[in-house]
Amino acid sequence: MYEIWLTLNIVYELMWMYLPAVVVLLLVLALVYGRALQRKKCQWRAAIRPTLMVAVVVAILSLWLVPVSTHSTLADIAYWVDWANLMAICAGVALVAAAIVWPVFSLRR
Amino acid sequence: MASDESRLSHPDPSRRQFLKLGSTLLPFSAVASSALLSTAQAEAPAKNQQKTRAKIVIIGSGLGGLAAANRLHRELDGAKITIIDRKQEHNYQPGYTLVATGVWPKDKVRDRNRDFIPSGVEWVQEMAIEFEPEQNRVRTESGKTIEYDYMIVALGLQLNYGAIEGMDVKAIGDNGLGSVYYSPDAAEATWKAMDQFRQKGGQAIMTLPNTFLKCAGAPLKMTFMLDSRLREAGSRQASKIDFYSALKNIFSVKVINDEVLKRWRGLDIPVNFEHQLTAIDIAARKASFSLPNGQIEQREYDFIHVVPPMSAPDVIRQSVLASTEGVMAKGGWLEVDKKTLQHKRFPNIFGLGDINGTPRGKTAATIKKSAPIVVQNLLDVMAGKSPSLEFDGYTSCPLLLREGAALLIEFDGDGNLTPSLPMIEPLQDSWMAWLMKYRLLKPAYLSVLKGRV
Ligand SMILES: Cc1cc2nc3c(=O)[nH]c(=O)nc-3n(C[C@H](O)[C@H](O)[C@H](O)COP(=O)(O)OP(=O)(O)OC[C@H]3O[C@@H](n4cnc5c(N)ncnc54)[C@H](O)[C@@H]3O)c2cc1C
Repeated sequence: MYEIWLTLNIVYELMWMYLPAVVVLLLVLALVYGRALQRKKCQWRAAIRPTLMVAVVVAILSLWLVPVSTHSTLADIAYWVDWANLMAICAGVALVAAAIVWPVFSLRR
Repeated sequence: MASDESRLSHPDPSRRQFLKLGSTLLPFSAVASSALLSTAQAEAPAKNQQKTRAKIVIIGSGLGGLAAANRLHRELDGAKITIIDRKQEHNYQPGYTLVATGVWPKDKVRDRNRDFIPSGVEWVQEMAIEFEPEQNRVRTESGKTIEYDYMIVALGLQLNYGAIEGMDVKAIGDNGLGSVYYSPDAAEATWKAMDQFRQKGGQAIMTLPNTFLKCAGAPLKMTFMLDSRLREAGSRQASKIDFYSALKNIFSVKVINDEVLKRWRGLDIPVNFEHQLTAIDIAARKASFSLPNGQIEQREYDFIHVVPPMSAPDVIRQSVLASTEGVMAKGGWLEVDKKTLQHKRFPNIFGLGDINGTPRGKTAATIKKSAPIVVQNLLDVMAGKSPSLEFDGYTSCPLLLREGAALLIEFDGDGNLTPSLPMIEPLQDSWMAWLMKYRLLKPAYLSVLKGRV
C-alpha cells in the first residue's frame, strides 16, 4: 500500500517537474478527442486495428528509446526486474501513443 | 542573488530535457489524474488535527526539518511552529554524485527553501548558536532568544575539511582536486577535475575517513564512476586507482563491504586499509596518510577525491544535547534513543536526520522512514503519552556502478539487508536501480520533504 502511495506521489512530482510536457500532452489529447467527438460519423471500431499497430511499433521503439533517454542502453537491462519495469514503461508509452492516434484514425473516411 | 532567486523560481526546462522526459513521463500519465486527486487530499488539513497552543521549534531547514514542519503543520491546529535556519537555498544532496560524475547539471540540485515552508510556519533566518534545554530556549546569532515547549533538532552534520592540513575547499576543481560533499559548486568542480583527469589518465586516489559519514556509499559511488569514466575515455589502462580507507573496511554492512571489495578486485582497484588522510599539498599534488603505527605515508596523485571527517555541528557538539558516552560521544552526535529518536535526557526534544547519534543511516532514505515516526512520537508526547512508534534504523543507497547500472541496497540499523520489495536482488547490477537514482529519487525526496510519504 505504501509503495503505491509513494509511486503516485512520484508521478505527481514528476508532472510538476515536467509541466510543459504534461500541458502539451493534455492539449494534444483535448484537440484530437475534441475533433473526433464533434464528427458525427467516427469510425472508432475501424480505427482499432491501425491504433494497435502504432502502439506495437511505439512499444518496440521504446524498448530502445527509454534506456537511451536515461543515459543507458538496452545492454544495461540486466535481470528480470529490469525487463519487467522496462516493459511496463514501454507499455505505458504505447498506451499514450494509442490514446493520441485512435481518434485521429477514427476521423479517416 | 536576485537573479539567482528568479532563476530558481522559474525553472525553464530546456528542449533537451523536454524530449528526454517523454519516454519516462508518458507511461505515468494514465495514473496522473488519480495522483492529483490523491495528493490534493493529502495536502488538505488532516481531519483529526490535534488542537494545541504549543510552541514547537525546528532547528534546520534541510530535508529533515522541512519534512517535520510540513507534517506538524498538517497534524496540529493552533501550534506555533518556528523553523530556525539561515540557509536560503535547498540542495538535493543525493544528486551531488550525479553532478560530480558528469550525469546531471548542477541546477537539478538547487531549489529554494522558501518554496517548501508551509504558510503559517515562522521562519527565523538565522543560525542557532546556543541551546539551553533546561530553560527550553535557543539563542540565535543576532542574540534573539526563542522559547519552545518542544523542539526537533535537524541541523545535519559538519564537514571537517579543516582536519586535513592544507585542504582548501575553494581549490576543489583545480589541480586534480575533487570532493563531492561540500556543495553543488564543489560537485560540479569535481566533475571538471575528473573530466580533465580522464583525458590522459594517471594516478587517482580515493579516500574514506574514520568517522560516521553522510551517505557512506558516496565515496564508493565516486570510485565506481571514476573507473567507468576512465574506461569510456579509453584511459583506464594508463591509470591506477587506489582507495585509501582510514578504517579496516570500506562499508559498515559486511555483505556490501565484501561485494564491493570483490568487484574492485575485478576492476583492479586495490584498497589500503587504516590509512587516514591527514594532509594534502594541493599545488604539488601530494597526499599524506597516517598509519596506525604513527608513520606518515606520502603519495603523489593526478586526481584525488577527498572525503572529509564528519561530526555533529559544533553548536551541538559543545552543548549538553550531545552524547556523553559511547561511540557517539566522539563526534558529539545528538543523544537520542535509537528507536524512538527522542532525546535521552530531554524528553521534549527529538532528533531527525544526519545529526542523530544512531548507528548508520545518515541518508535521505533514513529521513523518509523516520520523519513520520518522529512526528508521531512528538504528537504522543504532546498528548501526555509515551512515544508509540519505533524506528528500525532503515537506510538505503542506490550504489552507482556506471551510467546505466546501480545496486539498490537497503538495510536496517543492525546491518541486515531489507529490500522493500522481495523481488529486488540487492547485489545484482540493475538498470531499474539506476533509473531510480537518475529520475525517480528526486520526486520521492520532494514528497518526503512535503510531508506526504
Ligand atoms: C554526496 C552526497 C550523496 C548522497 N547520496 C544519497 C543517496 O543516494 N541516498 C540518500 O538517501 N541520501 C543521500 N545523501 C544523504 C542525504 O542527502 C542527507 O542524509 C540528508 O539530506 C540530510 O538531511 P538533514 O535534514 O539531516 O540535513 P541537511 O539537509 O544537511 O540540513 C541541515 C540544515 O540545518 C541547517 N543548520 C546547520 N546548522 C544550523 C544552526 N546552527 N542553526 C540553524 N540551522 C542550522 C543547515 O543550514 C541545513 O539547512 C547524500 C548526501 C551527499 C552529501
